[in-house]
Amino acid sequence: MPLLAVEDVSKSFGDVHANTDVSFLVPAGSVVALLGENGAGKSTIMNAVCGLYLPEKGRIRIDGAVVEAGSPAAARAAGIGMVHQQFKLVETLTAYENISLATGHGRFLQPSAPDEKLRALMAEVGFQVDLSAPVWSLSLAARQQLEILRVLAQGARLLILDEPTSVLSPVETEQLFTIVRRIAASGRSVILISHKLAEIRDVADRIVVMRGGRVVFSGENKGLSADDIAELIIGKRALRAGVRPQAPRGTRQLSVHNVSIRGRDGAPLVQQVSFDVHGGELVVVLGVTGNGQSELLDAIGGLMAPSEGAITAPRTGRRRAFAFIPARHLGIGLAPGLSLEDNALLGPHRSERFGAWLPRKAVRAHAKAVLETFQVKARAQSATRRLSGGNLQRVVLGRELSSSPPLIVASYPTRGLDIASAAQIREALVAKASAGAAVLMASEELDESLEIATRILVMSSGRIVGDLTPDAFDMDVIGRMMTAAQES
Amino acid sequence: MSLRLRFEPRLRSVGAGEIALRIAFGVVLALAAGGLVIAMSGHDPVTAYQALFRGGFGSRMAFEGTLNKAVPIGLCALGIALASRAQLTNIGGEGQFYFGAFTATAIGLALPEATPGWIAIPAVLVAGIIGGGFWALIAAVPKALFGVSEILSTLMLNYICMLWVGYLVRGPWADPMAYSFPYSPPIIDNAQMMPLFGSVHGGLFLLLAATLGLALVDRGSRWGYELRVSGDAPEAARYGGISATAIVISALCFSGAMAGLAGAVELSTTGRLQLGLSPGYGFMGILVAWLAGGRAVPILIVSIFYAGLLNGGFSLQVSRVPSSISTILQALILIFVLAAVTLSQYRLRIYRSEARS
Amino acid sequence: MSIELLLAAALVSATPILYAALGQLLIEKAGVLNLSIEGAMLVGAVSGFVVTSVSGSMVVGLIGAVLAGGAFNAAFAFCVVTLRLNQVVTGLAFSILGGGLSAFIGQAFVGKALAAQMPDLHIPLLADLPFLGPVIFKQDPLVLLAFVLVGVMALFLSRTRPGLLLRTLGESPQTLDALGIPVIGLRYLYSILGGGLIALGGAYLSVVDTPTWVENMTAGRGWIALAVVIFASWRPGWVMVGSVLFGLVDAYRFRAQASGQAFIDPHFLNMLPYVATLVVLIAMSRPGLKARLRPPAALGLPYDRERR
Repeated sequence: MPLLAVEDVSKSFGDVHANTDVSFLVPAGSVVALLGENGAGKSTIMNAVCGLYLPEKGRIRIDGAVVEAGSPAAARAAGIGMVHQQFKLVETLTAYENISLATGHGRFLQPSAPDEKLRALMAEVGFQVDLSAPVWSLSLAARQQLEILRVLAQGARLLILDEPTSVLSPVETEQLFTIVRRIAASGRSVILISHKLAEIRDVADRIVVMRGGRVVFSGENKGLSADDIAELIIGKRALRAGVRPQAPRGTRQLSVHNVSIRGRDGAPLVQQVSFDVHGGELVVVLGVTGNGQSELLDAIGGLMAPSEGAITAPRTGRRRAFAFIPARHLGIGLAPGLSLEDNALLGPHRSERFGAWLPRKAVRAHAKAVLETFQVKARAQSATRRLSGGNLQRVVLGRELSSSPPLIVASYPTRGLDIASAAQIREALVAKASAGAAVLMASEELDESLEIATRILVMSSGRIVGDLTPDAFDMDVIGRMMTAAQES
Repeated sequence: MSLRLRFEPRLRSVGAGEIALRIAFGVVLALAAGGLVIAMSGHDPVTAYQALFRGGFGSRMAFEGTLNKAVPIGLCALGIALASRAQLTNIGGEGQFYFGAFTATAIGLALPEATPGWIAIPAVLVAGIIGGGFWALIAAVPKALFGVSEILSTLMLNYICMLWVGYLVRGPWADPMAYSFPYSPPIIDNAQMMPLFGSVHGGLFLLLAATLGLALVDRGSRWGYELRVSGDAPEAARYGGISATAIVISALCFSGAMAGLAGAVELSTTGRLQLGLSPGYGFMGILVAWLAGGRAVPILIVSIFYAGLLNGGFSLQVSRVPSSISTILQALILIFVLAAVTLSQYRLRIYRSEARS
Repeated sequence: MSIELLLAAALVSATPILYAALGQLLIEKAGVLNLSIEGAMLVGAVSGFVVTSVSGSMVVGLIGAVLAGGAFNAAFAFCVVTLRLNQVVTGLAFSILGGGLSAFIGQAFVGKALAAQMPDLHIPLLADLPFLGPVIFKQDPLVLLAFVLVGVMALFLSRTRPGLLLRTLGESPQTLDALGIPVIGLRYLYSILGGGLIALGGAYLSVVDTPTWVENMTAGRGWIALAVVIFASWRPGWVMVGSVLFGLVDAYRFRAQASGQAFIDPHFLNMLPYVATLVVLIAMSRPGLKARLRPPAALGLPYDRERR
């Protein structure tokens, strides 16, 4: 009997069918890789397994017994444990205290050292975490091990790891996989959610591939080539005819030279990236989320500083003189508590059109123009946080494009938008490039990139692994570049 | 089965009329609670409230005294509201008030006796503004550079400054002619503000000007806009090219400058630096700023109301009701009104459900 | 002036601060920024004095003070934990309220003396120890109790599960909520317990130390206790150190004033706790410093499950 059986689970959010009749099995003592593009439905089904989502249809069984749906407590009691991408540890407590928060119900005295049971578990699986150290002093890899240990100490027999390698170096990844193998050897099972194909292939016994909310493959890992899996993930799709910008190549607007970026803990996020963007070009930085694209664009936009290298872009004084659309609208691109009228002014308020006094008439006219650029149907006085994602994006774009900038840098401008909104924004960017502006955008969607780019830079593990022009666009080739782990 | 009460945010926003109603409701509740306290102590609440009202607003003289007291309260409150635009909580109004009074005294003592009033009074007031701003700067710089909580640092600075002033008036600046009262010598005559009409002095115009100033900062100044953006979303401010350091320092310093101006006005009207210069104007300013929702014109109104409470408290003694009832009311009104306004943004829901984990 | 007497006087001066600071520590560890401390201390001082003089019993009076402080802070907790009012403004309002209430209640008792007086401990053997005897063991029992409480609280925080939960409560209430532990209930509990301790500090002043009631008699000791907690970076042992340092300054100031000789003006001595706290506050905020010396991460933030 399999440890976990997912049977015909369907879950939709409004009109979006996130999961349709999802079924697969996880045998006891196995490592299963759950693969798929962004939006393929991986997170939805895992949240349903953990009881965080209540599916409309279907069942989750552990050891053949149905687990009460939509109840995190029931899932935990049945032995399901998940380690999220964002760790849920209390930084000021020691590693051991974090574990005993979850396991020590009902006792009064708090031991300072782990008991026999926990030490046996640590020895069995091979954890190497200093349990007496406070969490803030631990590396990300150690914190991840601690999260796994905590979930196991709570009695989990099915461990779900969400994108576990995204924060790890190659050496740390290898250590993690050693632990994953030993967990499986102890009779427990592990589900790894991942984009990175090559790494997963080494450790997984079975593979489940999802696409468009459905399971398209579920079976043994053995006998599958990397190409087979990449094709399963991406599917056979016809390349749509491109509507690329048609403009002669203009002057150089952006130059990125040998840029490296390190995270707060020193982990390399972007390594030695160089490229130029000229007027009339629409360059897409394409890659699976978490491979350094958003950090690269944030550095260009001035939200983070590169640790090495130089970025040359239009500036007036120290201020940015080009359009930058950050990945997160609320909180960065827009102040959520202010009105749309105020937000239309963010950035332009320092331009020569306004002085130390912002005349109400000019502000109104400016806001009206910004909102009309992409037909935002909301009152200028309304609160920004109540707008839909599509409207937020339109406001940011309208504002950033209002000054006819020579360079447009857009971080995931179509992410999370409905089809019509995404198409509208793509068209706008293509039109700007056709009109002579240099456009650089980040994307995680293969189709969209192939459709509009005049050049695609594929990023993986912080490096540019492919630099292609439309004559070399090939879905399979690029798909493999995106999912390939870095050779190390 | 278990019953649970929960406050849930309302989906629709509440209109201004309803908020006004809630405020009135809060004030009535506070008066009722205060009346209960008075009644329990064996006094008649109606007589006590009558005495309180008469002392604050009952006569021309009482009202003029109230207006004079509204000046320092209102100035402190306007400063606190200004800092709150950038989500900064300045609770150091009391210290900034006293430091402003101190610098004003220094100028007022140092000026030659023959200095004409049109130089001396502005000089004293500007000294107070600079002094208050400087005292706030001590909290602003660590906040801007290291993120040190301005709530805690401005609170500490209050007591440091009060002890400093205590040292001055009992030590180096003690007036030998003041019969060992802890007073400084009087500042030059020409630096002392005289009553303009009745007993109302020119500070009232400063309060009106400052109210107008805050209203203008809010209405359309670039600085006011940048304060709001960095208060609402610091990362968005940075994205929009706004320097967080400059905002924190300018907001806190201008906030302190207002309290310092209040200190200078009080000094200039009483003439001597002393520890009784403020009966807690800096703290009252916080209550007033919050009661008025931080908006300029309501602050003007509420500060007159609070000054009336304070002024009326002094005349309560006459009807043998302890004057502390005025202090109790100051606090109760804030608590009840804040609670009433907050409750209007929520609704109470009762759940009857199985206990869920 | 003998060093023993100075130290003994220092411990007496430190005691009300220490009670109030320990109470404040409990409340702030729970994530509630309690600026009402001066008010709660005054409420404790007046209710302790009134109940003692009415009942004739100090123990009853002290218990009355603790209950009054607990009730006062329960009302504060209702405003900031349940209604989620702004903790800074509500705290200041409660501070003013406590001052007004205590003046109001105590008016009839100003200048009256208490019949009873707290006897000093005289623990056999220990009290006869040279030096330590007069400093520690010839004091009234409440002094000793305060220092015992420091040890109890340190052990409670570091060695018990409720202590672990309390530390988590001020750092990451959502973690407790996810484990099914009632965040709101615990915040009430520690606000009330802390209020009781703060009030006990006030009552120590009015019932044991002076013993008399004067309007506003705590004279800013609540704010000093608040400063001591920050100075100590929220650690009970250091709260004790800070309180004793304050006690020493206070005792020295008193002696110096009495003898008419002082090296430093007493105003500057009185500034020390605040200046030291300000320096510690800035020093602890330097980037890269140990996270455990920082204020509790959730301090001052109301907990609302829906708004995470």
